[in-house]
Amino acid sequence: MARIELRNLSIRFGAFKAVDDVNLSIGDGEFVVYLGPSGCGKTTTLRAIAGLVDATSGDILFDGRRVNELRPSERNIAMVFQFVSLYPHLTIAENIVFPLRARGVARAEIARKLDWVTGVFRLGDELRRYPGALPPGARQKVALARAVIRDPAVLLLDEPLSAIDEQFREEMRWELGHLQRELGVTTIYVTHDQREAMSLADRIVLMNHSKIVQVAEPDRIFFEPASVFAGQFIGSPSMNLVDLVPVAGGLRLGDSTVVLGAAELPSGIAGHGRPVRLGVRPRDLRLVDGEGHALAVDDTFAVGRERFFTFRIGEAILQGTDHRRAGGGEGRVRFVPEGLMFFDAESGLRIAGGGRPA
Amino acid sequence: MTATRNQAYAHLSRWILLVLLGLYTIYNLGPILWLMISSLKSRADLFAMPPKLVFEPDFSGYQSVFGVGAARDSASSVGVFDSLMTSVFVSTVGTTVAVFLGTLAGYVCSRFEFRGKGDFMFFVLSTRMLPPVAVLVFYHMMFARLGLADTWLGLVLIAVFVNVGLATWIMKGFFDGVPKEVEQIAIVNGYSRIYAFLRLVLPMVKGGIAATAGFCFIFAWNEFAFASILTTTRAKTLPVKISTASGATGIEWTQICAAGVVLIIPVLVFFYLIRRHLLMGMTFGVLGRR
Repeated sequence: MARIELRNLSIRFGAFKAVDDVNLSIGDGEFVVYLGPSGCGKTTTLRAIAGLVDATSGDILFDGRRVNELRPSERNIAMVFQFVSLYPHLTIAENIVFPLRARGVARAEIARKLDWVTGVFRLGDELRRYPGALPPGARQKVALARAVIRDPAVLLLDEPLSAIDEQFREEMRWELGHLQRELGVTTIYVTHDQREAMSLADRIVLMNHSKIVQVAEPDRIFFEPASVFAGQFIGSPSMNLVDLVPVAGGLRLGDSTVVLGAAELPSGIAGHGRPVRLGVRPRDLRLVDGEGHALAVDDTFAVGRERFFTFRIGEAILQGTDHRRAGGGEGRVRFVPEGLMFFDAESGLRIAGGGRPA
Repeated sequence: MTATRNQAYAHLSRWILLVLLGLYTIYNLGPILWLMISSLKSRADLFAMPPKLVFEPDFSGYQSVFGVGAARDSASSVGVFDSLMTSVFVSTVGTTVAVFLGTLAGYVCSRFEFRGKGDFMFFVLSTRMLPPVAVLVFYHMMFARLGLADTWLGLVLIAVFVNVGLATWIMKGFFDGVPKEVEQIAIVNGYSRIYAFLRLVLPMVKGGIAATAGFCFIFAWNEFAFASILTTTRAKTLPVKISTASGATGIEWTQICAAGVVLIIPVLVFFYLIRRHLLMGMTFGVLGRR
């Protein structure tokens, strides 16, 4: 178990800044998920924590102790990678106990641990087989078993589920979360899949362009995104964005005729003095039978039980949810006030709106 | 109506294809068959006109190639056996050294970045592109000065030289196919990189090493240009010997043909042995990391 702290961590590869002045502190036993598009620096950060990549500047601390100069093997970490890295010429059992062999752990202890870990992952029947005989999902289970068998202080997972079939991934994700809570091991998990991040994380570290965008609990990052990027990256279907134009009596959506009045706007937003963008998630943009704005609906479609509609404002296509009763009329578009978020159009930072619904 | 016409066309094109393939096979295998038959004919049968298809097999050619029986010391013996030994030794040692060096160099080129890596890789490849004839004279002078001309050591050096570049490139490809996580997991767990290389990575590229060795062996075994210039009497390889074999009684065709057959055998055996690895090796690079 360990607390981890990153202080002004920067990593350069030649002229390229892979990680740019990152500060973060991770609590003992916490499950932190690094989320971001590919190339944002999340994997590089993970590798720096492992000691596989050197920090260009800044400190990495485990339990308050600087570990920059420690070799990977001295940091008491375990890793699992996206592409299953089992050793094809070793049996499943030999693969799992691989980390213990290096430390010269006693034979009886190895057997006891192997017993425990195969029980946890239900791998008892596979021990004598070779990795080639197992499906990818099961192989990744073996890789996880190998990672946890020696009680690491920190578990580092680099997209461990991305290469696994959708169906099995759900199950593995659930098991992984369960296992982490049971072991209480500090875990850092890297992914570009926001659903994985939302379901697993105690806290999400959202990264973009080598910098941290926001660090927050999944709920908070969803309801109170720090910026346009955070709002759009998290949530599916993704958040609609429209530029707002100040007009008499409120703010107009782009070049449409829809004007959001005082009732729909948070106080002070009209006086921001700089261009503002509206962000609204499809669930907060509703086509209803009652009161609302008159807008030409482009299209309606259903995804399972949920019905959606789209409409255009200038070039942009906005998507909302269709709440009309079956066989209903034209419908009006309602903007749910609690769901409206306002961002500074230049900096992209949220200036008003958002917040968790009561 | 059209159905039967189409069938007839299909039939015809099938026959044309078979005839073409047959001609191609004769073109390729005919000389080898001719060589094998000739290697079993006595001098008199060899020059008989019209050619004899039925004849008393004469094994003297093979006896002298393998250095057994009376043929070895007879006046007509042209020392093919010594050349066979030279070839076996030079090719085996040369291949071993080239694969050893190529494996190490390939691993480094696959895993590490170093200044001038691109240039180094190109230089290594360029040793394969060089037409040997262009530099033969200078090699000859160099080897003569160093006392390497006409020695097994000199030939081994040449075998290594012509192969080490190829081995480096092929092995780099195989190492590229092994995820670097294989070593990283080991390093994170306290194993050394050397351990990871020897015990984890090498077993994963066994097939690649076999394929590389096969290629190198065959290139070394077939090497002619350098060997023909750098050896005169004591250390002639089999290909050189075949091209120059003449004895007290003129050109010993039977021995030459027998030597030719023997020259082909290791190539066949080697590729037969590694055919599975070879297939795997060829697809390995294509399938990449998954």
